[in-house]
Amino acid sequence: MNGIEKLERVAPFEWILPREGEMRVPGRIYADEETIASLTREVEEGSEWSALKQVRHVAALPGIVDAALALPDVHPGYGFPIGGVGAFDLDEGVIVVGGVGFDINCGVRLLATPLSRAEFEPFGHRLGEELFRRVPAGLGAEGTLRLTIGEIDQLLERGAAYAVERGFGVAEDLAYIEEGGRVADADPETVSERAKQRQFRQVGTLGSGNHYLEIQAVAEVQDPDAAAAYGLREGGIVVSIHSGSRALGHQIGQDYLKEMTVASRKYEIPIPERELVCAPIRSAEGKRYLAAAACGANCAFANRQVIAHLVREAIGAVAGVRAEEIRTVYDIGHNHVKVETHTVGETPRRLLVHRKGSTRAFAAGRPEAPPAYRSTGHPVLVGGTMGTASYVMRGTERGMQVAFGSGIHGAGRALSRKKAAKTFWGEHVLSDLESAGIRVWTHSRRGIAEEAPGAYKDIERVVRAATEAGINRPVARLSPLVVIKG
Amino acid sequence: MAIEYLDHTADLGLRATGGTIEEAFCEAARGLFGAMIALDAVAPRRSCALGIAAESEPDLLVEWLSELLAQKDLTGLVFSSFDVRIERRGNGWRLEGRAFGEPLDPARHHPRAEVKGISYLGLEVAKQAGSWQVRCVMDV
Repeated sequence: MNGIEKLERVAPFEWILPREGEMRVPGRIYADEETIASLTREVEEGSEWSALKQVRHVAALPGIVDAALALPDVHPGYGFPIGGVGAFDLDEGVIVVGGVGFDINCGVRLLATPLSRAEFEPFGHRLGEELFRRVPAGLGAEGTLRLTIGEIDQLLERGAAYAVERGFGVAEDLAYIEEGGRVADADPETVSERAKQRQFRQVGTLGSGNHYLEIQAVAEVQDPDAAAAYGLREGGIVVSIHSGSRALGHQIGQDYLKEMTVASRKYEIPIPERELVCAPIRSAEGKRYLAAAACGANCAFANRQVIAHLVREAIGAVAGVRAEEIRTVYDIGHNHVKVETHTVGETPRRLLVHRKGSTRAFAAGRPEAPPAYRSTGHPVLVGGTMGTASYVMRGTERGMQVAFGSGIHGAGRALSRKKAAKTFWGEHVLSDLESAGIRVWTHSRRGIAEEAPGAYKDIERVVRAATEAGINRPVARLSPLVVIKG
Repeated sequence: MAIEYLDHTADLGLRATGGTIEEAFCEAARGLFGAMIALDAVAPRRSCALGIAAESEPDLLVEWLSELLAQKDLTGLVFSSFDVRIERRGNGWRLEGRAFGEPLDPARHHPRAEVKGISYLGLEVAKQAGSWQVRCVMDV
């Protein structure tokens, strides 16, 4: 019984995986036909790691509310699918390490510069070189901010605010970071010494794989009111930073997978797949992981804050733009777990929402957005991949009602790294990008092949599906000019 | 002994085989570092002693590979060869041994994407027809 014959199309971009067997709720997938075809193909071909199977498994977890969701960038992960959302009742539900992943609060920071594309062009190449030199990236890269254990604890508690105190960035940045750049209830005691030791030299490093730093032009504004609120104008130059919580987050993930294995057994929770080991939200183990994940989130916010500072320094050195002229548009995570209030049916409820490869996309009026964005909702930052566009989107009222206010996070992979490395040749990818006017600096040629634009789904298609499904709305399309890869 | 990388859309599956469980674990470790760097370029100039325990063989594999990931960050070394001993101890399993390598040198080691963690997805340690096969999915 693979269940795909039962996948029901209930709207042009909405599909239901009906509840059956161990499932406590149905699965609900917002996607276009092409994505659904690829998901069902995985099942038909007997692929062991199928995103649909992962949706079914998430739907079987205790206390899950409404439905296990998958958004248009869905693809197989471990535990939750990537592009997956699961909300849980605080009393009956569980907290799942595999609903967040190893790179806790991996996300995107968007900076807006006062430069126009014409003003940027003369020094584009030099700026690429300068960013490549100043922003530590790639395997083994070390940051400029070295911390003691005591200092790491402060960073875990205070997040981006701690980085600002240490001279990285400006206080105004904090208002434009999700949760003020500081997730409450972070308890450094719940994070192992090993996790902290691994992070000593990694604060302010970009990482590798799909992480990047891009200088982009605002190619098209699709929602003038929201774009104006966000300070985005057509032809303006912006900078996107895609990075996460580095080794600290990875170690928290590894530590708590182990701890949750024991907890699952202790609380006799039926686990459909080992990667979904979990604990009741109200249990001591559940609370510990939530506090540790908050530390991971704060580490990621601080990390992007430090990188933003290095970007400002580079632009200052090359173009003479002052740091305070480069504004944080927003900083948003796409691997997280948060307690939020959502209306399910008629009743507002406090729920624990896991988003794995998915962002918050809260609509206008929600108090979580910075005051300047209350009338539009906060920006949803959708990352592209080198040759392809990135998007700024925003949440919708419908998204609040049907998707726990969640948004897409990127194009989503279509090809495995192995297939991509076989299909694309790093040098060719680089020369193709250069012909398209995109300058790339990388620490890994092989990494470029694995991250080739052709290894990802078409981001335009993914954005269209999220828009047509009514859960997100496009605000502006950003096209890459300079790409720094780890 | 052999290493094979398996297709996983977002991450990277790894299968390693060996005549003994120790050989299979050493191959898996080579597979882990082989995903991140050019293994052949890493000289075994320095070593690091390791001792870990777990309640089952598959858990021991996750512990082993995640220990090596942690040591990479803690010591700045990357490893290309391994020597381990695995035995049953009480209700669980224990691995002791050494990893050999040298400090990461991006110019010589041609780094690729960093492995972030070792997931439980598809985790397997099995003896089949006289050889040991281990398998896991690495988050890249």
